[in-house]
Amino acid sequence: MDEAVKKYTTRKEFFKQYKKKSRLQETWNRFLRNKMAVIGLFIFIFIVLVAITAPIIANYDTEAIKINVPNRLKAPSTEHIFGTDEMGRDIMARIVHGARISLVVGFASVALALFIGGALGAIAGYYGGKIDDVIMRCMDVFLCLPDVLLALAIVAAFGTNLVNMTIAIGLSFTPKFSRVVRSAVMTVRGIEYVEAARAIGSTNTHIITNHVLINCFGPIVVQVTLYVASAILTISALSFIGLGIQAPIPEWGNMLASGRAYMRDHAYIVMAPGLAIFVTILSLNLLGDGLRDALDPRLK
Amino acid sequence: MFKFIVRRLLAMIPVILAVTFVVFTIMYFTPGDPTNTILGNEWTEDASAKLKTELGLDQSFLVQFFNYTKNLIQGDFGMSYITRAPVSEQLLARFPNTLKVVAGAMLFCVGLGVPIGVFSGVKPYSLFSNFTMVVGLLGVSLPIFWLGLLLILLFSVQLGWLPSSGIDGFASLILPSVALGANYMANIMRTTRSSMLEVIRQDYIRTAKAKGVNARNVVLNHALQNAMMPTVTVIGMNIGALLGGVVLTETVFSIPGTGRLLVEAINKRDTPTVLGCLVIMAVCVAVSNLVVDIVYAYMDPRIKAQYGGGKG
Amino acid sequence: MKKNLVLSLLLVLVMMATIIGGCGGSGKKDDASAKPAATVKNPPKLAKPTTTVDPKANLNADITVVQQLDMVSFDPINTSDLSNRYIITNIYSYMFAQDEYLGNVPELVKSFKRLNDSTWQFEIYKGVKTHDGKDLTADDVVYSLQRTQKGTAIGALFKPVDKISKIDDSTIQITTFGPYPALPTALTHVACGIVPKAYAEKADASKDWSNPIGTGRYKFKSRVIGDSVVMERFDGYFNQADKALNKSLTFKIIPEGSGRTIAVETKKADINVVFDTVDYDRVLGNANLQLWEHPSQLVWHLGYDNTNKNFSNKLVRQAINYAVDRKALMEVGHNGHGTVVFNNATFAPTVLGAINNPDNKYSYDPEKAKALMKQAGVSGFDTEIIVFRDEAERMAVLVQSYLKAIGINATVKRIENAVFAQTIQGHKAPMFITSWGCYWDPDMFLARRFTKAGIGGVNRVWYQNPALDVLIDKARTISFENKPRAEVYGEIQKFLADEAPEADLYVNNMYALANKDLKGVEINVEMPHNYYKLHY
Repeated sequence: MDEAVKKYTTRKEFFKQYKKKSRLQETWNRFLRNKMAVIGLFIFIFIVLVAITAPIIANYDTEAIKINVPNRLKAPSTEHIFGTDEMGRDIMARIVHGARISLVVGFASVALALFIGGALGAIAGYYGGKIDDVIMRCMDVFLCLPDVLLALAIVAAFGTNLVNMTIAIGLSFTPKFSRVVRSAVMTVRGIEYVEAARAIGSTNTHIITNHVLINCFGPIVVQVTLYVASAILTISALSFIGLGIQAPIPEWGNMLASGRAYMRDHAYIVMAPGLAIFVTILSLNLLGDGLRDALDPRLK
Repeated sequence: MFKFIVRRLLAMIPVILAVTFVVFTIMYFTPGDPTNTILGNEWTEDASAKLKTELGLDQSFLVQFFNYTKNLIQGDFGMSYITRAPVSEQLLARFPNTLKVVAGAMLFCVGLGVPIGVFSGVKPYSLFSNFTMVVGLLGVSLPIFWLGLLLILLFSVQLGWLPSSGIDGFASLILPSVALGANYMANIMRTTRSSMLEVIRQDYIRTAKAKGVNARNVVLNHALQNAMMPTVTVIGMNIGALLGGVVLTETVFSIPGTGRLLVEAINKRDTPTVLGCLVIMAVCVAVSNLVVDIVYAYMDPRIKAQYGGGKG
Repeated sequence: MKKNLVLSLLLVLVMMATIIGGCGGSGKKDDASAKPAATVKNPPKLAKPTTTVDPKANLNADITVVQQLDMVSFDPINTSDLSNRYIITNIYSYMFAQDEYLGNVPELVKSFKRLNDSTWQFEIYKGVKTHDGKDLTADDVVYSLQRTQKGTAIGALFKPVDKISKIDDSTIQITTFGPYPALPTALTHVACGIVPKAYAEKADASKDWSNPIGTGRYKFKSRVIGDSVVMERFDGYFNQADKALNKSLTFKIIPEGSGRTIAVETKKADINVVFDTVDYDRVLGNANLQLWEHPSQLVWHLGYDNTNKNFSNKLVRQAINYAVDRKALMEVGHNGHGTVVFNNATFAPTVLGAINNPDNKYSYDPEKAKALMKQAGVSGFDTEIIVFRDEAERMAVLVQSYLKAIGINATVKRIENAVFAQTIQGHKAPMFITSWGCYWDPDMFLARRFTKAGIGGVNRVWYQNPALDVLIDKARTISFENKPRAEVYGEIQKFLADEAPEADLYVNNMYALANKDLKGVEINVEMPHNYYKLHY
């Protein structure tokens, strides 16, 4: 006992070893240890940077949109890293600008879903009982329609523009989000400090915003990451079948669709856009998986 | 057990009705005049008004919905704006093709995903296991339509082994099934692997091994059934996703199924056909959810006991 | 364990690299613009009508035709879609059939005469048998045509038609409002298919046209919706001198362009009638295939709303005609396969009285265009180009750059084809690009496209001018002979070249891709046709 105490010069130092690191710090450390997750994070940051600096990398009007007939269907070379498409446009320029659209719609639609679905789920989970039943029954109905189909129906009815697509995809994710938030809320609901907060008379809203939601943060962040991946996939899918972003606006999905006719003799035309979608989704999945593992309560 | 099934069946009906309502409402608010589509170049005010009465488009929303549902129950999906023939005719002709692709994909998913998942779960640190883990990770991120295009490029264009479109015969189903099922196979593989891993670590497995039961028996009799539960859940959750993905697969492989019918109908603004496709797909999802629930209940001894399926 | 992870990662990467590399292998080909003519083994042949048949030929083959879109319905008055027409014209007979230039050639009609300017009498062949063994009578013909008249598919083509009546068992009479020289051509329209009265009544009552009975060269056998239609030669066809030269026709639907080409390459089909010019170079190098071509009467044009204040000045409209490079547009739209057209009245080069570039007025001259804009006192304006098809969209983006050079800022907007008509109606299409398929007789389209009568129909440029109305009327009434009418049509084209209500761009070529041994390939100015003549 004396030796153990001798190692520390003060009581403070002695107890330091037992001081709990903040949850955030622990989680972050765990995350960093997961190599795949870190790789995912880096790739994703790279993609975001590319999207932000897109106008610097390639001029939108002259390179991504302008038709250049003599330049059609050139194979990848030093001048055009990914080749040119059937209208003579530099594929790399279009990929880079397409990243903007995919990311913006991806984040915006998930934000919408989070906002609406989160509110509904929080209310359902917190209040429970009849309110919970009603809200969840409604959400169940939407779960019967696969998200692509629901987005298709909305786009079919209201037309294909950026706003509609964001709303359509956002709405199709709302039920899933509400479930996630609901179960997170229900887990937290019974914890003591919520009871304590109630005991001292905080209003329900106050409890929800200050205590409950903060603790749901973890699972929500994981789902957000995974759903952004899904949203990006959905928007490319919709554009691929022609019911999403229309040409000449560069979007990875519609680039695949228009390049497809030339695929037999110019295979490179479908490589770059597909790779772009694949790498973006992969990085987000890695990130999401990594976050999920890092936040896993079983490892605490 | 029977009571369980009946209860779930009955619960399915209001859900389907509600889905129909949602879809109908969305399509109802489609801007634009369907008579433009139908009459095309020959559109005039009079012809339009005449057509609207004929199709019942001048009635109120609720009346239209009520009529639609009433007909739906009798199997009448209405008349297509484009072909002026019953929508059910097209649906019936095309739906089996969609089913074939979905079935093929499911076969691929489960037939390959589960065994691979099991094997890599049993031997978690082998080369095989790591390999499948990496493939699984990549597989989950592959867009269906891109994978489809790549498969066509490799197996149809370059090698010429398999057809790239249409649906004659077994060979033409291979590529679409793989493209559609790849995502979910990766999912199932990962889930099975991780749940096998978990189960194998349990005490009762160690006990069985200690008792001298050979490895294979351990896996099949003890570990597998318990490990399957999360897998069955994942399979169930994925059926809806498969039906969403089949639209993409049918587009890439030019398969005359319900998915492509839906896209064509949307492009032509043929609302009755769009409605018909969406309703049928929703019914499919509901039915498959029901089946998964039943299988799950059957496998879970707790639920079985609750409904008197086991011995008293 | 870590070693295994790294190893497996490497393995996967290597696999992916081979697959992607393997797929991209063929991508190292030269770009499309370099076409070394010397190595082309198999140039396209012009498809002329088949007049002789080799006595040793196989006239019992089962021919498979692939096309892009499915048929819609066996009811002739349902739709004028091309995908429907070229299937059902094998089942039903017509008073007149379409010829190479979408003119007319008698089919059911044995002879006809005109009692006066507005009364025609047609004698039908006797002994025409239906597929279920009965005789076709004048009653059937009258019933069919009256049904056509009541329907909406025939539209303006039957507007001048007054009464259709039976004179005797094999003669029918049609009266028109005023002279209508194009009546026989109007009777080639798909909606004029002659359906036996008994079947038509039954099908209408049960709303089921899926098992058609007609008098055509083929009997309906089976159909798989979305996939195929099968029909067999009808040995009781009334005109044995012009019967089917093959035993059966199977129509397969393959929506993907390359897929159709592959079907012919792999001998799963005998002929592809909707050839995607993307595969042009590839098939020319293939000795097992034969590409057939024919000029079309499908005029691709850039239209604009003449009532829109931006386009109300004639000089602006003319400027636009000088500002666009039609050759480049043809390159982008159809890989250069077609004929450039300098016209403003939608006259394809093979139409009656057509003049390519009346008065040699137009050319690609951006400087002249700018000068005209200046002369008009218009510095520039914003506008929109509406499109609903892939080729049109590609062309629109190019037009956008041409217009920018003369100060017009156009945005390209793609809409669904189903709403095109109402977009035009609502004056929401200030500019648009689409195609128009001409009949050989200009009377069938001039009034519909450039007069008040066509407003709300296919007068999409909202143009009307009393002087033009007079000329169109003159061309119709001056004579039933072609020459005098052709002269008036020349005048009309010169008039409209000055008025410039639209800018015609080019006609694309029609193609059919067939097995090299397939004979009897015929193409008209719209689609490959007369599949009954295909044989080996």
